[in-house]
Amino acid sequence: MTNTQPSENGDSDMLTYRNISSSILENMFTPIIHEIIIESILNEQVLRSSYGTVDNPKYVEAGNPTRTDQTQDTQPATKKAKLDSGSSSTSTPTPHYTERDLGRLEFVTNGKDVFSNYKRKENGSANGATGSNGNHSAAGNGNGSDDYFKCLNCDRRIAGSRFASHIDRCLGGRTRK
Amino acid sequence: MTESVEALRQRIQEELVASGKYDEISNLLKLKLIDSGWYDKVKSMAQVQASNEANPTFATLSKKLEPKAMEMVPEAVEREALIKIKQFLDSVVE
Repeated sequence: MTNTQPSENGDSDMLTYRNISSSILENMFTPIIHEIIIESILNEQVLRSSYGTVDNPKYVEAGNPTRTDQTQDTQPATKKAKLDSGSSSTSTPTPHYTERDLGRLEFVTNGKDVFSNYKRKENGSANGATGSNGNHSAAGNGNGSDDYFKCLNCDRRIAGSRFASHIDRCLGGRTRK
Repeated sequence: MTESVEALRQRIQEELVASGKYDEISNLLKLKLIDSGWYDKVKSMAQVQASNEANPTFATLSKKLEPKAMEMVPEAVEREALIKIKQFLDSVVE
């Protein structure tokens, strides 16, 4: 290899250690940055195909068959999280909703956060039925003490604070004697 | 003169790749960038930029984000990578 000598004034025409190291380093950064940009564009395209843009979101019918009208949705039927039912969401434009859904910004759909937990407005702690064991479904509207859950075993509405004890009795196999 | 400099630069680059040092240094660099949090910051920045644009394309995003991303690289990571490159250059340059 030819000698490279350090230049006194950093002339870019001369091949110096600094020049070549910098150019090699820049060549290494470029594909990393490009990878990030491509991934973000692809993510955005996927989001837009399902949920629209931030300024013009698509509203999706929250057609959860386990939920009755107990929620008394005064909130508009907003984007349905894929976590709720596991099925692919359908996009249906619903122009009659008056309240704008900020799901893409705040990840709140029908009072639930991205993990399908109800967002508490007061203390911010999440609470809600995730349906992991399939024995209950969330029927509350996300406000403080109004979290009622429907037991799918006995089809009764149970307050959140009493739900654990109810499930224990309902599924525990204990009978009245 | 310029051409020979470019040719030499190209030769060094080819030697770097052929020796496997390019991949090694590049992977190390990526790990360091992830550890330092730079990767997440740039990713977040890219996502925000893409969501704010009406029609995000690679060209527009790279034009806006590349300079910012390069500025955000931590000095320690940059220094460490440069040391590795210089070690390689020491080994191939007389």
